This record gives sequence, structure tokens and C-alpha cells, in this order.
Amino acid sequence: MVFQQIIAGIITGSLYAIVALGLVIAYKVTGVMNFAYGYMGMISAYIFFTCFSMVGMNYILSFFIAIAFGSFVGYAVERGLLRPVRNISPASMVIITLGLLLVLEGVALQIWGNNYQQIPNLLNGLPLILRFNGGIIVIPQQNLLILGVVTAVIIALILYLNLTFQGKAMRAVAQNEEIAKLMGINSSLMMSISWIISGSIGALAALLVAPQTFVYPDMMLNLQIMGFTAAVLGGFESIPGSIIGGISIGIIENLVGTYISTNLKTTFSLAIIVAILIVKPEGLLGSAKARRV
Amino acid sequence: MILSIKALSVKFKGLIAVNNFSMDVEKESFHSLIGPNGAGKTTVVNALTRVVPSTGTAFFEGFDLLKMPPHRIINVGVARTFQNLELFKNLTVMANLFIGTIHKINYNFLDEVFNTRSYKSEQSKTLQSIIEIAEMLGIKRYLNMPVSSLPYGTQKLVEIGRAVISRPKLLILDEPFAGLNDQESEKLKEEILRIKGLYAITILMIEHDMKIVMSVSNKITVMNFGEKIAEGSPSEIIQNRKVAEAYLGDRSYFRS
Repeated sequence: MVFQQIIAGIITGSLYAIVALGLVIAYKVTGVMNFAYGYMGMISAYIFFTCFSMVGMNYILSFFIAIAFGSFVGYAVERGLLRPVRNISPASMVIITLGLLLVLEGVALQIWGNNYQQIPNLLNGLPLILRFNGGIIVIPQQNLLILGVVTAVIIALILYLNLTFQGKAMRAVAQNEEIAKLMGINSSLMMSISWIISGSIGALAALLVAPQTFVYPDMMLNLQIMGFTAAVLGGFESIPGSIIGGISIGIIENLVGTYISTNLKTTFSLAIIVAILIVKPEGLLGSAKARRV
Repeated sequence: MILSIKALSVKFKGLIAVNNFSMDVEKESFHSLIGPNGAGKTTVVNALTRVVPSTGTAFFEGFDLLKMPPHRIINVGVARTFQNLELFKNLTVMANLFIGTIHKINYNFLDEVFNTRSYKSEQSKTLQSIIEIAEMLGIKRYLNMPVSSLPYGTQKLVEIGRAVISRPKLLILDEPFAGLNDQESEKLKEEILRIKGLYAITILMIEHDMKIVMSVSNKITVMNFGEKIAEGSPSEIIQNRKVAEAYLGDRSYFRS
């Protein structure tokens, strides 16, 4: 029973982890906390719904169209909306992304209405059943798919950031934009790339979660809040931190839901996180900022 | 002449930091820019490397630096260091030096993914030049350490290494000797002169340590209150009355 809950927690947590990852990448390179992140992904889920259920395209093709759309939305939001106002205060930036959230919600309502739209799982076969003495673990195939895709994305991203010259250039921009420019790095290109990556990850998260939540304008609300929490728990600037943060929140949430109260699972897990952050304000893997004076 | 600055002005919201400044830097010379604190020396360099907006022209081998986007400056052969060390602190020394070579990379992302031959050969060349520079500056054993863990003097060497590895024609050093003791200064001076000779680099240096400025410079430009007040060889500058006034205050004022 407890193993079953931990496995389920890891799977929910892996979704929180990639949402956190998408937020952190955009934040590190451009310094914007994107409160519209989940809703940008939601639009991609609707694009998938339109391609697959309304137009009748192939599942995989619709999937990739939706991801491509997500990366385009990421690019367009950064280039068109946030770049022109880069010099305003971070707080104003947050307000702009909150405004964008409302706009995206309104657009989705206008185009697709308020109905809960269903999209099917990609894999519908028999679940994977593991038996061992004292217990049984059941994992639906869709959840295995989520786990596999998320793991692959995380590994690809870490390799990209650590091993390629583009990844290093992006980290240089994240640390010191002015100097990165003087070293010949096109920082505006790096900002665009970071938002393209962030946007496609957001779309991917929405598509993976859509069969469970259904597609509707607020479908990403919970995932976005938990993604933010995971990022904060991980230190908001650390990529391994986001992953560990996401997965631990997933596990805590599932255990609280099973053993304490289903209704209170979000409340309880957020309370635990507040407690962790009181003890360690910089997050699990964040670095405490020491400054010479 | 490698760099020719004409009528450079920088204004910060009404404050005129640099006013109608002109200066020529001869090819392969060691040119120093000196002046009291707040004279606008660093602002001139910041304008040249497009860190601050400015008016005027600064032709470097046919390119007007003041009209270029900042990330193109290094491609025409201008690299610089900073007064207050601007390194990528969380990255290793190796990564910092590597970033100095990024602008020259001509393989693309796919070459890296598929590990093609052009990628491999260029990668090994880059690695070689990193090791060569690190060896020359005596920082080879720190290559895998994060910059933030190194002492100040070593960090300075890393910053110089990062600028030199981009193979600049003009290297701009902003107070490279500040905060070093006599022994360290002497060593750094030798390193800089050696690198200058080895790669035939032109150096433009801002510095307060007059002993060093006088011993290395071919030509010195003196600034005060955002304007050029004198220019010439070290011996000419020593005898210049205006320069003495700028540094020591107007003596006639005290007499009266």
C-alpha cells in the first residue's frame, strides 16, 4: 500500500518536476517568474484537442503539433510581450504574466467554451502489475509513459545545459548577461531559446496530464501551483533542486492523501513545505546568498 | 593606428560623464589611460564595449564599435577585463575560459549531438588553447575548480585568460593591478608583457599605479572631469603641469 502510494507520488511528482524545470529555465535566463506558465500549456492542450478530436488527425502528429505550438507561444510571449519591457521592475513583470494568464483563460473560453473536453490516453493496455511478498503495485501504462517521457526530457535537458556550447552560453547569460554579451554570446537569442524550451516543456506537461484532468481553461491551475512550489522548494535557481522538489511534493501529497485526509492533501503538503522552508529558507538545493560588505 | 575615438560623449541623465573625448591608439602599442577617480576612464571603456550608450565614433580597423551590437565586439577583436572582476562565478575556470572561445565556434548543435569530425577536431583545438593559456598564466591546476573558490589574485588571472583566449587584437585592461601587492603586481606585469609580445596584442590599460604605468606604457592619455587634459610619452606626462594639478589640486589656489 505504501509502495503503491510512493510510486503514484513519483509519477505525479515527475509532472510537478518538469513544470518546475520549465519555470526555472525561463527564470534563470530572463529573470521572469512566469505566472501564466500553466495556462500557456493549457492552450497547447486545446490545440491537441482540436487537431485530434475535431480535425481527426493522428495522435502522435497532433501531439507534436501541440508541442511545436507550445514552443512558439513561449517564443512569442518572451519576444513580443516581455522583451520590450525588460527594464521594468521584477514585480511589474509578475503582474504582466498574471495579466497574460487572464487573457489566455479568456481566449480559451471564447474559442473552445467552458466544457470539459476529454482526450484519451496514448497507451491503454493492461497496467503493469508487480507482485511481491506482502503487496502489489499497479501502474497504468499511461503513467509509465509519463515517467519515461519526463525522465527522457530531464536527461536531455541536463545534457544540453552541461555539455553543449549552447548550453554553456545559456548558463553564462543566466549568470551575467552583460559579460556574456561581451564574450560574443548573443544573449537575446539565448533568451528566446530558453523560452522556446520552457514553452515546449509546458505544453508537454499539459498534454501528459490532460487525459486525467480533462481539457478546460483552468486545467493547469493545480499543476502550476505545485510546479511553483516544487521550484521554490528546490531553491528556484537549481535544476536538480526542481526535480527533487517536484518528486518530494508528489510523494508527500500522495502519502498525506492516503493516510491523513484526501480533502486536506494539498493543504497538508503545502504546510509541510512551509515548515521545510522555515528551517531552510534558501530551498533544498538553493545556495544561501552571502554578500561581501 | 588600430583604434580611433572621435568626439565620444556619454551622458547619464544630465550628468556628463565623458565630454567630447578623442584618442588614437597605435597598433601594438601599450597605451595607458589615467586620471583621478571619477574622471570617466572606465566610462570610456564601457562605451567602447557598448555597456553604456554613447555618441561619437570609435573606429577599430574599419568598424565603428559604437554602432555594433555588444555581442559582435569580440568578433572584430576587442576583449576586456573589468575593474570588479566579472567572471561566471559558479562555473569552473575551464568553463570560464571555454566561454572566451564561444564566439569562434563554427560547428553547430547537431555536430555536437552526432559527435562529428569537425566537432572533435575543433574541440581538441579549443582544449589545447585552454591548457596553453592556463599554463602560461599558472592557473592550470585550478582548471576544474569553481571560480568563486579561488583567491582574488587568481581570479584576476582567470579573467585575463578569458580575454586573451579569444585572441583579441586589442585587449582592454581596467585596473588590472588594483588590490595586488608589489610582488603580485610585478608578476602580473611580466605575464601581461609576455602575452602582449607573444600574440602581438595592442593593450589599452586603465591603471592608478603610476610606477607600473610609467614603466610599461608607450603612450599615456590623462583624463579629468570627463575630458582629455594631456597626452604623450611617460616622460612628457611626468612634466605636465596640468596633470600634476589634476592629481594634486590647483597649487595656485592654495597660494592665494
